[in-house]
Amino acid sequence: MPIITIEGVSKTYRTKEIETLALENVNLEIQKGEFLSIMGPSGCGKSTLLNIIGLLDTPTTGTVEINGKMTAGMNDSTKAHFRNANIGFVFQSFHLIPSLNVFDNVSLPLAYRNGVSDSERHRRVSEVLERVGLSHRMRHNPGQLSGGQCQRVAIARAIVGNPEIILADEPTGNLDSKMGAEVMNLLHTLNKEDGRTIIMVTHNDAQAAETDRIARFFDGRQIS
Amino acid sequence: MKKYLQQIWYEMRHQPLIGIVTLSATALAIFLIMVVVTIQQVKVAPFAPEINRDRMLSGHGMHVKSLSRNEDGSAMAISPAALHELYDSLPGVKALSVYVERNMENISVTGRTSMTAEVLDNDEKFWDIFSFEFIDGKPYDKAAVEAGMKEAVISESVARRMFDTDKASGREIKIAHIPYRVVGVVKDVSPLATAAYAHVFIPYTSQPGNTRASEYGELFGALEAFMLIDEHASIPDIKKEVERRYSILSSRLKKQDQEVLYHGQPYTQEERITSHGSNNTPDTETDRNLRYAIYVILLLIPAINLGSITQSRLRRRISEIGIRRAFGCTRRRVILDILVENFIISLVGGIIGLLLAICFSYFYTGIFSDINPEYPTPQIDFSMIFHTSTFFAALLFCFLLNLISAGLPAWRASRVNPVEAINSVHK
Repeated sequence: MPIITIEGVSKTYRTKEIETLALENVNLEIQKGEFLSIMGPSGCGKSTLLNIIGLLDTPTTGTVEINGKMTAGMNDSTKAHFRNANIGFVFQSFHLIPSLNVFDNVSLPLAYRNGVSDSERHRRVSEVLERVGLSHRMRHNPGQLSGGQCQRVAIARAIVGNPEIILADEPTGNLDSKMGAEVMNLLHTLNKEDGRTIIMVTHNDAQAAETDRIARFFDGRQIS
Repeated sequence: MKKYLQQIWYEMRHQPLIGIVTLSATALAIFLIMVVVTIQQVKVAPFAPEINRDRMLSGHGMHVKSLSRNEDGSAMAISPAALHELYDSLPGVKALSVYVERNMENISVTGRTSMTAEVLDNDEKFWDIFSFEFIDGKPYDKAAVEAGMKEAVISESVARRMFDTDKASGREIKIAHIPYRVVGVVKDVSPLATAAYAHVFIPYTSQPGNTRASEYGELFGALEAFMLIDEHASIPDIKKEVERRYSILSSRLKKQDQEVLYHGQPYTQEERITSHGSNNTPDTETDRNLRYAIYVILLLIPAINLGSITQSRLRRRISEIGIRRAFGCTRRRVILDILVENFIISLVGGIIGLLLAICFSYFYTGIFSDINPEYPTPQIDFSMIFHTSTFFAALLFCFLLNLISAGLPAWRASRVNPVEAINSVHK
């Protein structure tokens, strides 16, 4: 059963001068527990698709159904709560909040969720930090961590709310090969052990080859 | 709360100049506003001995006008008969005190250099309405007032000057060369207590001229009145009753081709300090509107500047806002978080501004010089310039300043497209 169904999705960006077609009639089904790689040259619409799946952007035409819910017509608040409950993001540049320490960065999704007590938050953050091997760095600031450690914190943040879907936009793009491999191992563990659905944008053929499926894009169209 | 403080501390460390400018601008704005608030509070808020200002009414003066001639009419203090007709036994009035406007008189004691002092002629009820601290003796009583006894209550400084001690009860003092017996000594009163201020107090009946009608007519005289109303009494109802009595008086005066004009007596403390003579109705609304306009100007100018600073601070945090949105933060929450953060900064700046305003008011008493301009720089104590309401006023102004300065930047930040916000770090 697909956890994500994308039907006829197109995205056009319009400015006064120019109209850019970022995605054209994309149809894609992603199964629950699948690890999907999205590949293609820069500007082919990979990130746009990821943003649409993540409810950070809306398609110009077409529909997206996630976990049996149509995303069209959701208001800002509903989208925010839906993202919080169902989706975890991992970004190329980590995007940790510099004013918060590791613990507070990881607990960010829980701060926007109702009914999570302090003790529960502490337990869950400790658990995921333990899992990514950074429990000893809990009180450190992002500036005191290496790139690989930052990305592991970002992954911990993505999973602390226990979402079924993880969207990773070039998660190893800013890391050296060793750290990149560590991050990929972590993502595979989350996929295999937890059964989380992972959609990863990548330029790395080797990493993509290790995932369940590759969707290739060119000029906004899915070519395979 | 912790996360807000963390964020503020982080910004303070990383953008100290912006932090200092924000705090200073807030402190300056609140300082200026609170100085204006303090001046007004000294005029209307209760402090000893005028602790009942919020329950005090004053009936002073009467305006009589000819019905047939086109003239402004005459206004002055009233006769005992008029005072009793207008203000006696008003419903809701707990105490009615009769007084005569302060006079500067010669004060002397045998063997001492004489001095001039402010003398207030009043009655025994005066001591119930105002809360004087007696250092020695006690006030004159009803019997003394009814008998027109030559008794006096003097201030501590007069007692020391005339008798070298504040224990002066039983001693003789001459007021305008007439001997009086000192029955009590009270703590000095600040001239800012415009109703109760005087150096010497004597029964109004001890001066025969006070109990007679003036040569200008049976209504005019030397008397005015202070009233202490019950806690739950309705001021509009009391005013309505006095207005009714004015109209009865007016209809009686018709045959003399005269009428009395009602100007809203008896006055509240705010009306009393706004009143300019007995032939005008106090215009508290204009006074209040002027004050509100000053508050708005003092709030708006710094708020616009602070708004630009907040906008600039948020521009640096736009990527963070995008991240928060990605992890489930709603637009409303973005606005709320920014407002709370900003409010904490405003509060710190506001407390600094409030402290500065209190210190400034305490040390630079010249700002109160227009309250009672005939007298030298008044004495100040904290009970005059700081009330619980002062704190809440400062809190309210901080809140407004925060809302005006951060409201629009927060709303704009909440409307930013999350994708653009997240990617903005790369631009």
